[in-house]
Amino acid sequence: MRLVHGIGRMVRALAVLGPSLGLALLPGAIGVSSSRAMAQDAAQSLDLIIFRDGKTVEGRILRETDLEVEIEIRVGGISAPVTYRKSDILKVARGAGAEAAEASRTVGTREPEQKGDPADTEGRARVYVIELDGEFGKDISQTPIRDAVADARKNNATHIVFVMNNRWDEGLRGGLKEEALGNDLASFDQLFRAEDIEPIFSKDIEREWPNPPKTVFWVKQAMGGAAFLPLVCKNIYFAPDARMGGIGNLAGMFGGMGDEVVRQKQESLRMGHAEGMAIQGGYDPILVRAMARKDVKLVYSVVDGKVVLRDGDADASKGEIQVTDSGDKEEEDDIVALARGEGNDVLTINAEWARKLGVSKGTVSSIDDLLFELGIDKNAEIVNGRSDRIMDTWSSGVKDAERTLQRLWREFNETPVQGDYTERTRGRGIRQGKLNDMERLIRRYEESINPRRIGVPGIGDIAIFRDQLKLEQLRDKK
Amino acid sequence: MSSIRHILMALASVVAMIATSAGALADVIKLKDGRTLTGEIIREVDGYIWIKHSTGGIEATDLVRPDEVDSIERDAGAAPVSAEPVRAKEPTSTPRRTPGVPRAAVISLGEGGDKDMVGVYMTAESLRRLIPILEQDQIDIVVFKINSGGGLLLEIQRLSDVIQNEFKPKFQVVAWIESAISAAAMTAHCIEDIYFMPEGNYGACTGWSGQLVAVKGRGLEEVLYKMELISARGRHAKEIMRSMQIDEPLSATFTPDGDVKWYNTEEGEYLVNPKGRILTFNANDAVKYHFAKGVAKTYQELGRAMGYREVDWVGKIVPGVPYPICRAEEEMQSFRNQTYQDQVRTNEYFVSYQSSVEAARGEQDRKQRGAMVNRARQALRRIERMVANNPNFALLTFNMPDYETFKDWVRQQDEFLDSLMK
Repeated sequence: MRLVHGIGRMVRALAVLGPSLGLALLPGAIGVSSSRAMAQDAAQSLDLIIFRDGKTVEGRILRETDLEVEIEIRVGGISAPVTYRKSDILKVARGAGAEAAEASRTVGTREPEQKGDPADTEGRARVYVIELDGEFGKDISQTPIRDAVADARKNNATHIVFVMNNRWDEGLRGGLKEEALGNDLASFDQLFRAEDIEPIFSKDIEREWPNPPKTVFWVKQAMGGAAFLPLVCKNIYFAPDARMGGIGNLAGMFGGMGDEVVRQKQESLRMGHAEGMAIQGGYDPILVRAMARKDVKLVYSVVDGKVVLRDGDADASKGEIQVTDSGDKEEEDDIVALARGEGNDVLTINAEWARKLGVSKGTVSSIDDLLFELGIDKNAEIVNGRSDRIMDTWSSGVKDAERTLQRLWREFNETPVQGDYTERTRGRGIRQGKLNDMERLIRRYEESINPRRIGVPGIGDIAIFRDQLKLEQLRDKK
Repeated sequence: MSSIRHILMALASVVAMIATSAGALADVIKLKDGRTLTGEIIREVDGYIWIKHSTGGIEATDLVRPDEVDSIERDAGAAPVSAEPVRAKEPTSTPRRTPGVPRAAVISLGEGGDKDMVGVYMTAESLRRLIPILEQDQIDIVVFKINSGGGLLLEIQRLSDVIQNEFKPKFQVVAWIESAISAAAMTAHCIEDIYFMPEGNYGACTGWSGQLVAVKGRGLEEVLYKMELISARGRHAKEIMRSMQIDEPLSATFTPDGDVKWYNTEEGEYLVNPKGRILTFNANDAVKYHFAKGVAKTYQELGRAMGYREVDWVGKIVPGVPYPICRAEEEMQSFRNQTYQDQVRTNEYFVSYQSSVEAARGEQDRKQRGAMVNRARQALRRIERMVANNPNFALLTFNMPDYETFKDWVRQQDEFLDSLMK
């Protein structure tokens, strides 16, 4: 008996800086050139703010507190007050504007905005859109998404919009594609496929791009494992009829198998992974708990303008709202609620609640609306990239590969090894060729293809078949 | 093609590093504390200086305040293009040290996915092999980046012993948690300095076997006791691990001096884990309850979180890998890759061996029999290499208690193959 600890894959972010509100509007314009123009206008009286990352802003300081500095800046002849957080500021140098700014120009160059709203060298926002639709884990997979992100980089994108709209229909279960699956159907363990993909959004772009773009998730439908992906991103917008959920089966995943303490362990480790994804994006982990477990009773309230979430029973007198209930006995969702997608045993986030809960920054029904919400509608350019072709090529490649694998396997079995020595040798050669072709296809699409599910041998079995062919050939005699 | 592309990418990386270093290592800032920063001054504002420099092959930009500067030499020591930067990238037996700057190495324990199982991809033996390499590279801090969903109970004590008795006396040992579930958490638990990645998780240490059947009785008591001792090694309250192993609640109260008092009841001020659940820490809670010392998304953040102003992170930057790859890490990755290959091909090795033996037995022609025996011997050598790389395969695959027993078996098989040719 082996004692196992773990899953074991059992089943298995100003223009000139910071998150300052005003500067986010005109990132590129508040650069060296604007500073120079201001210096020509009123160099003697300008103040200078030096930020921790080396960038500077010149203008007239209007107000300074322990937490903030408000400065009036001029861009394109227009003056505007902008407030910065002291935590982003290295030094406030009153009256030091022109000299210091000159010093800055001699050694450094303005970097394109990275953490606020990025822009290209001409101050435009280059928006690259990647549509994530199809079956999660199969069509929506790491290889095509990485390729699309690489194309976005090649196209100097300043913003990448990931449109999440995964399939959630009966076709996934062998039924009709036209029939949508309900909110109560769930696929929590797709979490582990989400973990294969999420580093692209949470780590790779930030680490590998010299000037990382702003990444945005526009959720149309994020159900099952797809629900986890937007959560690693700080910028989420919802479509009006969007839904995000379909992971509410955690507690029942193991049925009555084994001991309760081990089932609890299995649930706990999975929640640990899921909560980590929400924490990465800056969201309260109680959200994924409420999405995954019926026994989490999510209570929502707003205190001092801030959203407060907790697990328990709502106190209406304090303005609290029960978002999800226990799902137990009389509180269990009935078929009417389930049919209408209005159940509240587990959390399925719609556009309204996404906004209230602080998951989404806004509800938009088109890319134009999204650009407006992002504040880049007047200087944005949609990049005409190859993402659609990349994603489509992958999807059709997977489908073709599945069919081809089945055909190759059938042909392998139908290829006779008989006749004289030359014919037998030729037969084995053909069989080996089929195995080699199968291995190449499986390796190319292994993240999206499960050989067993389509009735063909996996890599390990193919190696054995090949070895046996070699042995047979060695033993064969003319 | 793929390997050629990798070689070209690696060459491009080296060329880029040489170009950057040769052109950029021109400004020298001497600090009042005695340190020297050599690199390229990329920005100066009102006496504040931002200098880009390369340490151990890793580029970083540091801010130097006016009151810290002793002197500035511009374009000093512009070095000719030489092998120097390459030496900085590739650790040698006599690495250059920057006085006062610790040298750190990141060693991955598990890499998630199919290469994460404790006892198979995280083994005491593979860790022990790294120590001479780390010593040769004059490493001061070993960061174990852990990403594992757990594994075999039998390996926990061995791993804990290697870390406690062989690593800790030689290095500052730090755990950086991406995911440490079950046996992986139990392995990390002998380490005092634990940091989380934002997505980190740690816990769910309930032992089980078969169809989710819990370890019970004396076996359970032995594991609980073992983890009490390992908790003491890591200076972690034993109550924490108990709540990760069995159905005992965990609550905490902050003492006036900022310490945390733990209870395996619900009497503490904060309920960390309720009765009926098994504890897995996320990053927020791990830090809130002082179990982890901080959260770091990148290795640079980790250095700062550990309280170092500067850390010499040893290793090469490899595209797609979020930390420098030192020689010891190369060794660890090589171990895992070989183990993975062997695990995938185990059946092939055995089928090949057995079928070749059978074929040899039935072959009358001595020359043909010799060919079969040679084929069997090739398969036997693959099996031998598989277990030499990972001795745990002796138990896991052969159900043999140790590596010596396996070697005896190999000797017997060689003798048997010899006999087939007599």
